[in-house]
Amino acid sequence: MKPAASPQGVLVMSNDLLTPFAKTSDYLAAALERRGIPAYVRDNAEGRLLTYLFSDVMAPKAPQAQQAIRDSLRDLIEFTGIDTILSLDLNWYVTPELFVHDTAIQSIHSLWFDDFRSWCTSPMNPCFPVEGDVFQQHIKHPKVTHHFYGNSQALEARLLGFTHQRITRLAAPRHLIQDETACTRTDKLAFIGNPGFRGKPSPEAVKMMEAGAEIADLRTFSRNAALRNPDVRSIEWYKQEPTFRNLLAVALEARRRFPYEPALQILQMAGTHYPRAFEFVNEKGIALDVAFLIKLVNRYDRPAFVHRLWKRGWIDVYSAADEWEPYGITALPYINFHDLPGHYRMYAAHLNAPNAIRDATANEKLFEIAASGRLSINLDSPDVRSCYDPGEIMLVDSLAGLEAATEQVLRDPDAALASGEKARHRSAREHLWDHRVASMFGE
Amino acid sequence: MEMSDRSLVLVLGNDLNRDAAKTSHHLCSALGRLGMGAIARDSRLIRWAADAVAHESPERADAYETMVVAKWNKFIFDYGFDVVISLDLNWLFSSRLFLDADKVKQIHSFWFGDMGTHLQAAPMFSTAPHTVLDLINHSKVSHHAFGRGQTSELALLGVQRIGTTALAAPAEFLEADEPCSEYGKLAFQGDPGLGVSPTPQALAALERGDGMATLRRMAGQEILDALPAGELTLSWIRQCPTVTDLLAAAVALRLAQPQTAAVQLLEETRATYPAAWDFLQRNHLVIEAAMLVKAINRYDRLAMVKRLSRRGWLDVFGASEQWKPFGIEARPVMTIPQMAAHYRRYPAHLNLPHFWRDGAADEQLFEIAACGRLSLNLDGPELRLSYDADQIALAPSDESFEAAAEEIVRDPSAAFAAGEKARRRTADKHLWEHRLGKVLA
Repeated sequence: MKPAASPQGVLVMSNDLLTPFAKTSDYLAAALERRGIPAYVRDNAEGRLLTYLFSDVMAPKAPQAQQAIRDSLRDLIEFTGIDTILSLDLNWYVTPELFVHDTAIQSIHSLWFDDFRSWCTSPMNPCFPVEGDVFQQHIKHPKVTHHFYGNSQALEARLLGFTHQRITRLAAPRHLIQDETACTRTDKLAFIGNPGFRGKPSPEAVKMMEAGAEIADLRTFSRNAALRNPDVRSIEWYKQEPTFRNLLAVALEARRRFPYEPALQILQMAGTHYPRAFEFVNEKGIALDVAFLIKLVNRYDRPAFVHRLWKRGWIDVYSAADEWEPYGITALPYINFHDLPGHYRMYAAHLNAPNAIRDATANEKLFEIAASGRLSINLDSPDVRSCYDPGEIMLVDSLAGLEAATEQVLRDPDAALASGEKARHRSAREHLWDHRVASMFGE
Repeated sequence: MEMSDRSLVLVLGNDLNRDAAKTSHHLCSALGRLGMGAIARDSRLIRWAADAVAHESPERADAYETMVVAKWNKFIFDYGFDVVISLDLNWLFSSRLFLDADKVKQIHSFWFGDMGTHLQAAPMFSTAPHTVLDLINHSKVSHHAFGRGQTSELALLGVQRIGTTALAAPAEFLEADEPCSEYGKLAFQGDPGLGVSPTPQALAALERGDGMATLRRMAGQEILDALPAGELTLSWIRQCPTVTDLLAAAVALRLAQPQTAAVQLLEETRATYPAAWDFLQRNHLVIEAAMLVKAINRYDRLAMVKRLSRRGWLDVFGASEQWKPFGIEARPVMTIPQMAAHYRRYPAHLNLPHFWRDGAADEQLFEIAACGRLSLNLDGPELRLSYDADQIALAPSDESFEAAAEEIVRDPSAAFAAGEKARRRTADKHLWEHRLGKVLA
């Protein structure tokens, strides 16, 4: 698909209930402004909160609420000559037909951040209800382009029938390139983030981590747990289609063996062995739910990485203290976005393990750590390799490999800093939001 | 108040108003150039929702406010904002926000409109048990008025920590280099600025081409005649009959000094009508009374636009339905990003602020200057504080106004030279960076 023409003005629709979305919206706007494209970030959280909280009492008021949202944004579009809408996920979709049928709007861009299933099921994203297939028609409208940051995500979207799609990797904000805060921590790595998968870990899995289990063992454990203790919905699916269990078993095993292959691709492959079950999945419209179960084979990847280094006293963990506590990890306080560049720079190296739900794609932190001129140690996956070379980041595929790499970094932090500098140069050349915006609009 | 090395500023706008949306955007750009991070957000929808919930489902208003506040507190915390800036009180939509956030050290209200209008147009969650005044006089909050009249009005209302700093222009406008293409004409962008429907007499006077002095006298009479007819003003008169005399005296003063701040003129009547002044002040009605005095100038803009249009010297840009009753065919308003190029296309621009701005220097004065173009203004002391007479055109009367326009139309070279001088002065003193520098120092 050809890039869109340079916009006259861009409305970036954020949802400030989810601050990582808000942050990225602001980075996108800053990159657009640097290209001389006026960009205005507006939040839709209040509109969504209103829908969520008052859907019963406020139902008669819904048309006025939709009108208020439309008026608010319509005025801005008119004042500023906005012709393009940009948002993470479907944050542009608050009320039906808001932008799709607005003749002033030439193009709408969804930069997918989360997956479609999570977006539609999150309580943070209610929007005004529409009947029939209007929602599908709107998100597949010719004006709308969907940008995916990884192959797996693009595959999921194709399955859902998204027609206008492109692969556009995540990126770093340019201000990270300019931060020169000194490195003061060479005796430890840092990990900034939560355990990735919300929900309490199995005590057995934590015991395995304590006992020094390898990551492959934990994936096997997750596979077995999914088959032995199916959730309520899976049990129902087993009843409705007995071969479904076989399909799931094959898919889970495939994921265990090929942990970075897109879950949907694995499901399709398993479907060739169990066509009736695969047909059942398609007929029921549960492909994304099943893909989610497959992704969960990797659910302990991130916690296990962090846990292994924590046990050795080699890592500082920041944020989500209550979520880390069940893993026996005491996390340091949350770092706000303003202080993030300083924290990236403070350490010579960072651990970066993607969220299992993201299917081992290159996450935002990969680019942010690199733009900060610091080394990241990552799970070796094709998506990550396509963004940086091994001299710029470190790639490992086991906990033993992680320990060895960390030991090397702690022994020779200067080498880590040199790699970080290379990663910073690469980021400045290729992986800023400015590059993404340029590739979307005209270059 | 200390600023951190690199402050992060939340700029809160309200898209209900074109100027608020525009200025919020310019403020963010200027803060970025000052080395501070700045993030803009809008409060229009929250205000609508607060109002809708309060009316439709008051029992849930508290729950909704709690959710909104929780969202904003998380937003403030995650970003690490330490300064909040807004036009008017756009930062104040809930009494539970910003003031209690430890991280937020400073809150700045850049006054653009007046408080009464702002509170009417921008509903918010209930402030109980506090009053709006309690909240806006919090020790973190500073108020920045753009004119002397506005400063006096805020002080009279009991607002504390008020500074006076002129409005400004965006630095981006200095870069505008569009050539002049509309020789032989000036431009004006805006609405008729009347606020009420014109009387048939006023319409006829405008058609006849009556001057500003005549129209001001007419407006003064209309205002005084309407006092016993208006529900609000009638109640004033019933409670304190000498209010009529005080207002008549203030109207007379304004007719003699049309560019002097209305509040200042009202205060001059105080010694003669102490009971009436006392009544107005005790009942917090001085600002309403001042608005009546300001309205004496309500036909100024129309009179000048009509006068130049009749000569074929003016292109008007504005809402066509508002201009139509006055026989003027207006072209569509420029979008905000088109403004600089628009200013550059004409050798000069008519700049006539709304009457309620009380003769203070408005934003357009600085924007036209930043684009290197001459503005033609009604002479007033506040404008002279910002630019010299060889940088902008200042006309004290209808005749001099028309003469200045004729000169520009005949030979724009002097206008271009003055515009260039105005651009240099703006670059040195009147950018948003300068205003922010003073305010945040």
